[in-house]
Amino acid sequence: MDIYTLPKKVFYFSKEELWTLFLISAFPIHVWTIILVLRDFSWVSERTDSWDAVGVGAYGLLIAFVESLLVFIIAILISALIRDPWKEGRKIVLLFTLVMVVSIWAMINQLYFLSGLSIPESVFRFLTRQAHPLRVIYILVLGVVAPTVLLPIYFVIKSDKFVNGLQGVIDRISLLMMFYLVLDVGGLIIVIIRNL
Amino acid sequence: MYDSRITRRDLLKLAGVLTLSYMFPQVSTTPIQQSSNQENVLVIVFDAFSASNISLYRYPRKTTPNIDRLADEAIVYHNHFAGGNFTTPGTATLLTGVLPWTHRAIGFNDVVAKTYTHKSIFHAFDTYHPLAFSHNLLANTLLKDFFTGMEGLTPREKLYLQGDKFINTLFSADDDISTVGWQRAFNRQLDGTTYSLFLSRIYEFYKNQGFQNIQKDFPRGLPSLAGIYNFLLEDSINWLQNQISTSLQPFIGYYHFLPPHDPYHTRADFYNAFAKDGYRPPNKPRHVLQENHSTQKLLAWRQEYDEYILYVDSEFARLFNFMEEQGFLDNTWLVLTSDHGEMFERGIRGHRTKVLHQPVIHIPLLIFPPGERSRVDIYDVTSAIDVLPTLTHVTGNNIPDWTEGTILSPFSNKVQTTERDVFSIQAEGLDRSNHITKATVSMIRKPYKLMYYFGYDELGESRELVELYNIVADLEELNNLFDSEKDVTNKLLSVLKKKLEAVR
Repeated sequence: MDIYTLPKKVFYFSKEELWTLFLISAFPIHVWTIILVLRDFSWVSERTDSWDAVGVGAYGLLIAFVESLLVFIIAILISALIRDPWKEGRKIVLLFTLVMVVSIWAMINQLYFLSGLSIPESVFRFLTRQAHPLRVIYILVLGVVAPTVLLPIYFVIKSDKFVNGLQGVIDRISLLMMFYLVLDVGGLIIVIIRNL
Repeated sequence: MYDSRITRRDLLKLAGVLTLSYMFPQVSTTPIQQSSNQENVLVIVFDAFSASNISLYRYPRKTTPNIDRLADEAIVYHNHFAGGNFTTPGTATLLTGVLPWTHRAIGFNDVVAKTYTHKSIFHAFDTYHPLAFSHNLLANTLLKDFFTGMEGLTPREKLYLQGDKFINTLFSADDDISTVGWQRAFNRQLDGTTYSLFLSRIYEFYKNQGFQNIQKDFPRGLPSLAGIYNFLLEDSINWLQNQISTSLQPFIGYYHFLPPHDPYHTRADFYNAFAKDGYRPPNKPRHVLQENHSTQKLLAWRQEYDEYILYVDSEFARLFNFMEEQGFLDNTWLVLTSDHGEMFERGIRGHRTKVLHQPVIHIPLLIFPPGERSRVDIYDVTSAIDVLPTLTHVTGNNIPDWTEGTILSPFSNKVQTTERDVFSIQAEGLDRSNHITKATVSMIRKPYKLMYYFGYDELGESRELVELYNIVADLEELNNLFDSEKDVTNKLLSVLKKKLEAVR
């Protein structure tokens, strides 16, 4: 296959779909950033002032925007793995599902630290009894994570109802994300003002 | 959450990216070039270095074998006290020679009141070449303020192992907050969370790659300011050796190194040095303003802290040996002290606490006079405010009229009376321009120490608490004499309240 013809066939998205793909790539990253910025607001403003706290949020949003672009690019590359005959709409739903699942796991990973939870001692005891505890850990992680990825993919492939439902979610998220992009622009303006 | 005593912003400004191997030229072996007959002054501060954990001051663990030995050439002050309980008030007191309620650097990252910006040790030695450095963000803020219009302050980023210097460069007009934003986005070590969901992992991987070759030497992690700004004390000492070797003389040097401030990341050769010594400090009652740390945790932290002191001790000895070999000790007043202490008792860990028990405010002070090779022990009660007037006096400079301290024994002709009151103040969180309405003040009038807490909601309706200890007979402050020695308590409290009225 000629690599130069590849983008036309495989990477093809309409402008609207690309825009939607960007919005859904940016959504979980922005939600997480905004939650943490709001959480940080009080301690930063206590230590210095509210303008500095807004400044920290502004830098956070800019970084979130850059990270969103990277996730968007990766999502496009992943779309290359999806077979041609797929309708583009279903492709978007599948990519949305993957982005959300991976993001939720990344959030859970951070929430684990935040909540101060620790693995129960019984699990440690179980692991220490194993001949290859690391292998057991990998198997356990795979056993938990794999269904959360594979099940949504299965439903995207098999269920039109599921796809239609998610498309509705994507529409709403895209709208919300537009608002977050306005915040990004606000963040950029704040960063510029702070650096004048 | 990250430990509240080390707030994230304390630690969030960023460091340089250069690796130290590029930064440090070989230490000069050029003999001292005396451009004047005046002696140099070199003040070395190790942050959060509590006298209560130093074997020189009778701590049962041998935490300072080298300093114990080097003290044979020093004047050793056994009852020396910091002006405050954390870097800002402690350092400002040392550098200005006035107490926190006068210089007003009482809150986190404060600078001194405008009237004191030009009243520091560097201004007192105005014909000397000023040199200064601090790993510590808060001390650096004070130094930057004092060095307004002066050369000689080395940026703290210079001695950090690696950082994100491009952030400071890219957003130079807002380097403080841009750094906070950057760290919150990428650094998981603050409280486990980052704004970035994915890039933070890549950042972490990149950062760890740069440190791989030295990480094995620090089993608890690299020395750092709260896990963000990594540094090696060895590099800092090497750099200092080079700086004093190449500086014009006479110089007034102030070097404020972070160890043994937490995190207590000692070097491999001191790791677990006290793990099996069986030492158990005296069991002390939990304080009403405690932080609920378990005894077991406090013991573990104490062990790590004590092992970190071994690292400090070892590096100070290396500096001392260098100065001795190069002849610096013949023309330099070398001072070893701290800005405040650290505590691991009564349910409290660290120093940003409302209590001012001995471990938090009792700090070391050793003065090595040039050319002297004999030990003198001073048991007077002394304060950080005394260092500046003493150093100006011994070097033949004018004692600034603004200082509140006195010339220390044995340099003073006066004999200290027992009536001298030494104060330490904790008033973090107050608006420094207002009256001091919520604070803890320790007042020491030998043999007593009065601690007066006021304005704290946690203390019930009166919002007050008074404690009295005889720190000569009861070094560990185990017996609160508030009830049994009412007369003494009332007398001292009355003096203290009058003082507070005067300075409010």
